[in-house]
Amino acid sequence: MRDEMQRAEQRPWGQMLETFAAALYGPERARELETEIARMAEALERLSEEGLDLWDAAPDLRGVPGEESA
Amino acid sequence: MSDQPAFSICGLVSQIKERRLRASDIVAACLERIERLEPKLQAWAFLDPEGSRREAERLDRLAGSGTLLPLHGVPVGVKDIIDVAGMPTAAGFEPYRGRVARVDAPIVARLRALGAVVLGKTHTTQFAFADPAPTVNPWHPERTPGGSSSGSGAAVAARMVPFAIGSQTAGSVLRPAAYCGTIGFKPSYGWLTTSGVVPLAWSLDHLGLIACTVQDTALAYVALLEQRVDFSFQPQPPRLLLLTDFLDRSEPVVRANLLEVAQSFRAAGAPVEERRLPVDLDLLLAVHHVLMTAETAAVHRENLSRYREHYGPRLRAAVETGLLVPAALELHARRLRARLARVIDELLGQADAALLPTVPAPAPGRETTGDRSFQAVWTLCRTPSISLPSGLSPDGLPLAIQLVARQGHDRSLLQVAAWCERALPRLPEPPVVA
Repeated sequence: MRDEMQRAEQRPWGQMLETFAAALYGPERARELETEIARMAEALERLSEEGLDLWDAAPDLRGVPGEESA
Repeated sequence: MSDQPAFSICGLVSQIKERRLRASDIVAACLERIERLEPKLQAWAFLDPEGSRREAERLDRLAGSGTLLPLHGVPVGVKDIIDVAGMPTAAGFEPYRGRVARVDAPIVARLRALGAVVLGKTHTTQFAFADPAPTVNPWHPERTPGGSSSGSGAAVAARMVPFAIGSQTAGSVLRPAAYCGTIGFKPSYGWLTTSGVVPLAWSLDHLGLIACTVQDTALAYVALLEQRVDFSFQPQPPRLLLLTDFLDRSEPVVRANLLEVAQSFRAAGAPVEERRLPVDLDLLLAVHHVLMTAETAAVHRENLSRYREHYGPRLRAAVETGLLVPAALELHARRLRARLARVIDELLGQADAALLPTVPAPAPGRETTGDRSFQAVWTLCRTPSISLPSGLSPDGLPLAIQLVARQGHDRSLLQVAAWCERALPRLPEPPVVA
C-alpha cells in the first residue's frame, strides 16, 4: 500500500487525475473529460511547482487573554 | 425618441427631468425595439411588457407629483441568474424554467428604488459557465456575443436597453462587452452584493454593469452604491501601465490596436509606461482555474447527480474534474491567491490604472463564449476592471481595451476610463440595428 502511494506521488498529476476520473466515472467518461482534465493537470502542476513556502507567520498572541489566563 | 446620444442613461434622465420625455415613452420605445430585433438576437430569456408599462405609468404619476428618482424611468435588463420578484430565474437551465422568484435580489430592489424599470431577464449561459447561450452577436450573426452575460451584452449593444446587469466569475461582464462593442464594468469584489444571485464560484462571483458610455456606467454604479458621491467628470490625464505580457498573447490586429490607442493616449497627455507582470501570468490563471473549478464542483455536485442529462457538456466536465482537485492543492491555490493579489496590488499602486486588451482576439464563432484569460486575472485579484470599445477590426468586429485599478479604487478607475473614452473612436451602431 505504501509503495503504491509512493508510486502515485511520483506520477504526474495528469496521470493521477485520469486514474481518479476513470475510477469515479468509468474509462469512457474519463476519456470524454480528457481536455478538462488536461487543463486541470496543467494548473495543478504549476501550483505544485510553486513550492509550499507560503505560510505567513503565525500571529503572536502572547499576552492575549484566553482560557488559560482567565 | 431618438437613439443617440439621447439613448443613454444620462440623456434619458435629463429629458425626464426637463419633462420632455415620460417613463412610459421610454419603455414603449425599448419594447418596440426589442420586438423588432429579438427574433434575430435572442437576447431575452423572459420579458415582462405589461409589468414594465405599469411601472412606467406609476413613475410618470410620481414625476407628476414632483418626485424624480436618480434613474427615473430608465429601462434595464437583468441577467437571468439574478432574482427579480415575479419573474423566473432559470439560469439557462431547463429544470429551473418555472422557478419564479418571490423576492428581489438586493441589487434589483435597489434598481427599483432608484426608479429603473426592469424589462425582463437577459440570457445567460447555463449557470453563468461556458456552454453558449442562444444569443447572437449584433455585429455578426455567426460570432459569439461572449459569455456568460450574453444577453446583457447584446441587448445593450443593440440599444434594446441603455444598461444591463451581468455577472463575472472569470470574464463574463467584460468579455461580452468587448465582443459587443459596449462598456463593461466589474467593480471590486463584494461592492455589489451577490445575494439573490445563483452562485457559480462564490469567492470569485462579482456583479457588474454593461452600458453605452462610461458616464452612464458611473451614474448607475454610484447610484447603486447608495452613496452620495460627487462624480463630476473633470478627469486629468492618467498615468497608465501598459502590460506587455498580454500583448504577447494577442492576435496582431488586437496588438496593433492597443499600441495605437496607447499612442493616442500619450498624444493627449497621459504618460504610458510599458511593464511586465511581476508574476507568471500562467500561474495566475492556474490559481483561478483551480479555485473556480473546485468551487463550481462544490456548488453543483448534488444538482448534477439529480439533473445530469440537463447539464451542458462544459459545465458537467468542470464539475466532474473539480471533484478531483486534491484538498491540499485547493488550499494551496487559495493561499497563492492572497500572495499574488498583494504583488498585483503593488504593481497597480504605481499608476492610476493598468492598460491591456480586454480579449486576445475579436469575437470567435458561436460554438464558444471566447477566451477568458485576459479578464480572469483581475477577477481572481478582485480588482475593479472596465472594458471600453477601441475600434473595429478589418472585418467589422469590435476591439476593446481594458483598464484595471487597485482593489477598492473603483471610482478613480471610472474617472480614468472617462478620460480614456474621450480619446477613443466612437463605434457606429452594429449592423443588426442599422
